[in-house]
Amino acid sequence: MSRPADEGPFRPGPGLPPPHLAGRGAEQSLFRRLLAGLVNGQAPDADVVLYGPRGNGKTALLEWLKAEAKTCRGLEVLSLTPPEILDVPTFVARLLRRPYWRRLAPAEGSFRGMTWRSREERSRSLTEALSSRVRRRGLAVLVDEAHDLDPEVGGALLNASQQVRGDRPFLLILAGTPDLRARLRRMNASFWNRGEIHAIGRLEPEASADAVRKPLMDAGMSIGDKALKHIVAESHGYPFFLQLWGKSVWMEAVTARRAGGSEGVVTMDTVNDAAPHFEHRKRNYYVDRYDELKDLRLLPVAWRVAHAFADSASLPDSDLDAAIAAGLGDDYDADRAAAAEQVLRHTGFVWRSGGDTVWEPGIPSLMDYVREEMAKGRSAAC
Amino acid sequence: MDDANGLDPKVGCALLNIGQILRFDRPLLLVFAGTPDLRADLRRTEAGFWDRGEIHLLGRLPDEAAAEAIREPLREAGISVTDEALAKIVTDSGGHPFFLQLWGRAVWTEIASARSGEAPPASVTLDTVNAAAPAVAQRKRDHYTDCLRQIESPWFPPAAAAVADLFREADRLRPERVDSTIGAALGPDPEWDRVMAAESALERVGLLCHPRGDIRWEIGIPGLPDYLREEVAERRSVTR
Repeated sequence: MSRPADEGPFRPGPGLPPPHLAGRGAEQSLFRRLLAGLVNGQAPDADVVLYGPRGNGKTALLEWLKAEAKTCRGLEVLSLTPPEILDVPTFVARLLRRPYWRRLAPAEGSFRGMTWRSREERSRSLTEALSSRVRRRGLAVLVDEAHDLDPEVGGALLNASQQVRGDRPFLLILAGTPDLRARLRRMNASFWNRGEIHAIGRLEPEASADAVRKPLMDAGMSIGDKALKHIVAESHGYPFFLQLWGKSVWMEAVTARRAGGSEGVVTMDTVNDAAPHFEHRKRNYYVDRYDELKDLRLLPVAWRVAHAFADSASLPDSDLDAAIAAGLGDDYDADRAAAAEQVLRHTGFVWRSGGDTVWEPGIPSLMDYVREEMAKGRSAAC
Repeated sequence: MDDANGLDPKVGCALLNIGQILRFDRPLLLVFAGTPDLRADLRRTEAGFWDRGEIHLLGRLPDEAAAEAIREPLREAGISVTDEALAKIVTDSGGHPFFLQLWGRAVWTEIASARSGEAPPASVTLDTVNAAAPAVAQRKRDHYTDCLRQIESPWFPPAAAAVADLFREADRLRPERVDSTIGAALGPDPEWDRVMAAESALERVGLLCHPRGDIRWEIGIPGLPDYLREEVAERRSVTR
């Protein structure tokens, strides 16, 4: 779809594919390999699980995969979210595409005490439904926001996937927030953790720089080293903020070019002029993240955790546990502490990336924001 | 989707998710509009991506825009407005667009009734404004009453009045102050969910509103705290 030229290439919105998907080479290679296998009738070895705090580009990665799959002749991609598959029968019905003339007929009927059901309606097993869908050509099922999957549906899907994959070119990809792994553990499918599990977190500085520099260059603009370094440092490698910075400097550069004050170069002046726009969107975003923690009555916990991260980029389990316990205060018990940790992971406030045993912040500057606002609140209360 | 506040969380979650999927390759735009508690409602959908969208606060107008909202329509009708008359309207309306329209209608009505006489006035003066003021005050009171009648709960008047009282101290209040005040008004040791529900209700009626990019609270509808204080004091005196 074409976009107005002045809007520029950057896409700071939920799940929108960025103009350059930087720093995801490993996942892109994996997806290319898996898609090629499907087209050749080969099933992947296992399902794929993508997890990470929101705003890091999981959905964008799935969209990239969908675009890539379009170039694979005969391959079908089914993109789903949990609200569309609230239970197994709904999921089965979604998978069984009936010809239009059958859709006109009732799926079930009775006459003189005898009840009949259509073939599709009788075929209630998710495995059967998936198998029938994948009969002739490769099928990839992508479930975004999979942390919201009903455990029964999730368990059935994982089990069905394992069975179908045995003899058909079928690929299942689940994407969700950092608590997805914990939710998968509760899905009565003990094998999921032997699949391809990829943590989708913040980008390394070089990839962050690419995410901004390349789209600018493709659009005929350049960016000074100092300006780029500033953006990379301020965004903390958080992909949503990189897109927001990109859009903000683009708008400033276009305005300056119209006024005849720029030759399409993003300088520190451009960055300084763009900063209020970026800061406005960032603060607006943080108001909701803060209120979310407040709604859940987790601000004292978040504050302690944010303080623990003040002197350290990562925390071992014991330090996170201590911060959560301190935040819960007199309300502490093991169940509450576990629940608080689960919510902090779900909201992406903290998470563990890859095989790491340490915790890191979802967005480091959100920790700063929580510390500052809670400090203001405490001094106002005194 | 207008009046999207109060959106069922499951419906909202489905709509946001499906919207996100469709938006990639189809020209689809979802626009939600609602009272300030819409943000809390969207949080309850648990679609963790909505807050990366374009979020715009439509609040009270700054003084210059408020003046323009009155001056321009009058000018187009060939009527001028004196500076002092305009200043009084702007101040009384508090920049609330509905109140500005009430004022516009009221001074227009005053001018129209004066025109039935011999010399049609070409200007809105302080006299016109003073003559129009009772009609505006009555409509404002009706509006405040309607706002408060949205919440028919025994806890609401004391909680709302307690929060209204806080705004005597400052134009913007820290959330901790507001939460503890609501909590105290709800009785001994209330559940946090009740405090949050009460806070959402105060947003819905227009007493509380987040300014842009700020976690502090400010008044949503100007004059509502004064009305609340008076109303609750009156109810208390009747009860005694």
